[in-house]
Parts: sequence; structure tokens; C-alpha cells
Amino acid sequence: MTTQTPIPEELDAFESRLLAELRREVAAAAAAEAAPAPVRTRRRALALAAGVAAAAVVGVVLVPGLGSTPAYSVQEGNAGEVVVEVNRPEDAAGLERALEEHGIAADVTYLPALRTCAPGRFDEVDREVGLSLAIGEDLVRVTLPPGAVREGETFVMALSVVPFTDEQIAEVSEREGQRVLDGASSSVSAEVASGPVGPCEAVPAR
Amino acid sequence: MGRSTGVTTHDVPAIGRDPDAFEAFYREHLPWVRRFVARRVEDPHTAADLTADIFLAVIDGASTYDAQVGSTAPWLAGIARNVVADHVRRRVRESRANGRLSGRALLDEQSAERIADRIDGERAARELYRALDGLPDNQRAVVELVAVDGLGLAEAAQALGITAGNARVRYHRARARLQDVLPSPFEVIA
Repeated sequence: MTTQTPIPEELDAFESRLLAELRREVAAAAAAEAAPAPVRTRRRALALAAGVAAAAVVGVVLVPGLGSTPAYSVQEGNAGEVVVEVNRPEDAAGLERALEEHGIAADVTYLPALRTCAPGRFDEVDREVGLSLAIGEDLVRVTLPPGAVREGETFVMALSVVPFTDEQIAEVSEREGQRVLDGASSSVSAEVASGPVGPCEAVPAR
Repeated sequence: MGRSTGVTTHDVPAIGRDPDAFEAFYREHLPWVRRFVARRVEDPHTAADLTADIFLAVIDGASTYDAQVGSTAPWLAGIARNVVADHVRRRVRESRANGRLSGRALLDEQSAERIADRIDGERAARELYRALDGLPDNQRAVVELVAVDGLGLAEAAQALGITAGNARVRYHRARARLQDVLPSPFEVIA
């Protein structure tokens, strides 16, 4: 479609992050093809994803996992970014340890039923960290660019999930044009603290 | 945009299962996708979403790509047009409802500004794009790819899975309605 010889152009930060995410999609598709997963008739649908880089409150339809996926994973990408995926809000301490292995001090809190930690438990770093948050079909994914969390700083994540009411399930079913068995709304926040992080005092989210 | 499709031929099915093959495709076609999106939407966040959605559709469509159809560029154009048309039909919220990954969630301020600049630079193309609103869908698809994106009629036909003759007829009909804004078919076919 173009007569110009394509000149390799620099990708900007967004385009690099998008590339990393898409590479993962391709790898996941290849893995799924190589080893057919157990039949998954219950499609997981995303109800609403209003994401911003640092913190977001989102509603997601989550069908309870089949039990074969790990609760979380921490992986380092080609560009040195660290990708945290949470499939189920279980074993926060294990996720903190996994991040520690990647040199990232972390404070992970899983809260019940759409609650959040009271503000003021830490000071956020005074710079653009470039965290990105994505809500996939079955997980919450946070990508930390290289150097996002420096010496003495802490990656702070809080996640709470509340099951959908019957009305919400009906609404999503209708909108998606398919049967939805179960769902949940999640509230996720991901930030970087500049210093110590105080204990989480659970308060109602928004 | 010229008429030639002299870009690298990719092993398209590999794009859907080999991250490196995908990356090569992404890097080569991203500049085109940037412009394609900037010619159609005004909001950088929506542009980011659409960029992500277009490449996701590429990944999904790669396995069913039929090499007989022709080169990859019209194939991409057809996918990109479908993604945007789908977005326009269903509006942001609905479109997000099926999103596996959210483009806007990956956006930072600087990148958003770059997109905004690009959108600014495509104002004329966007006006033309909007002027096509009144056309029936099947004419619109041809005219869009030809007049807005600069594909040749044959390429547009390939992108849409119709014959070149059919594409030419549709373009002529559209031009009968929108003479003021559309280039003459002679410029298009040349």
C-alpha cells in the first residue's frame, strides 16, 4: 500500500507496551493451539474496563477458574518489563515473594467485597512511573516498565473482587448476547510508594 | 500512498503463533495503522484502543488467512476497516466490552500527545471520512479505502473480497452522490 521503503521507526512508550502485550497474546494463542485446554464453554467477558495507568476501578465478569491456572504469575519480558498477572486473589504473600525475586519490593493486599485501603498509608513517588493495568479475559495484569520500582521504593497493589448480583449478570448476558454464568466487579489499584507503606485499613471503595 | 504493494510478504499464518513473526509485521505496518486510525477518530484514547484492537484482529485472523487472496497489505486494510466500522457501530463501551486488552490502559501522557499530533495532521482526511457518512455501507467501504487511505481500486477490492469491477462500479455510484468531495475515478484508477 505504500511505495516508500518502510523505514524502521522508533516505537513510543505506548507502542512498545502494546507490542509486549500483543506478543504475549500470540504466545498464548500458540500455547493454546499446541495443548488444547479443557473445554471452555463458559466464556469470560469483560463488562467494563476503565483503565488508567496508575489506578483503576473496573468491573469484570469473572467466571471462577477451572483450577488449572495458577493464582498469579510474575514474568520478565524481553524489554526488561515485569508483568504481574493475577488470576485469582489468593496468596498475596506468595506474589510479594515472587516480585521480590525480580528485585521488586511489593505490598499486595487482597480485600473482600469492593473495599479499598484507606488513603494515606504511603506517599506515591513523585514521577511518572508508567505502570500499565490491563483487564483481560480472566485476569488482572499489571506491567511494570524497567526501573519502575527503585531502591527503597515499594510496588503497592490492592485488589478486591465482589460477585455480581443476579441483575448484573442478566444485564451483561443481554448485552453480550450470550449466557453468562457468573461474574464479579473488581477494584484494582497499582502504585509505587516512595517510602514505607503502612498497614491497610479496609474502607468501602468509592 | 501509491498503488504498489511492494512491501515484505509475510508468512501470515505465522503471525498468529510466532511472537517474532508478529513483531516484524507490527513494526512494518504500525506506521500505516497509525495513520489509518488518525484519519478516523479524534480522541487519542480511542485511537489507542483501536490500534490494539486492529492488531488483535490481525492475530485472530492470521490463521485463516488465504494466501490466494493476495498480498498482506490489502488484507490488513480489510481487517482495520472492519475493526473501526465495528467500533463506530457499537460505540466505545460496547466495543470495550469484548476487549482482551485495553489500548488506552497502556497509554502514557507523551504517547497520547504524539497520537494527538498525528490526529491533528490528518484533519483533511478525517473531514473526507466524515463526508462519507451518507453513503450506503457497501459503497462507503470502497470509497473509504480508496479516497481516505489511498489504496488502488484493485487493492480495495482485495481488501473487501470483491472483484475489481465491482469495486469500480461502487466507486462510480458513490461519486455520483458525492462529486464535490471525491477525486475523479480517473485519478483513482490511474
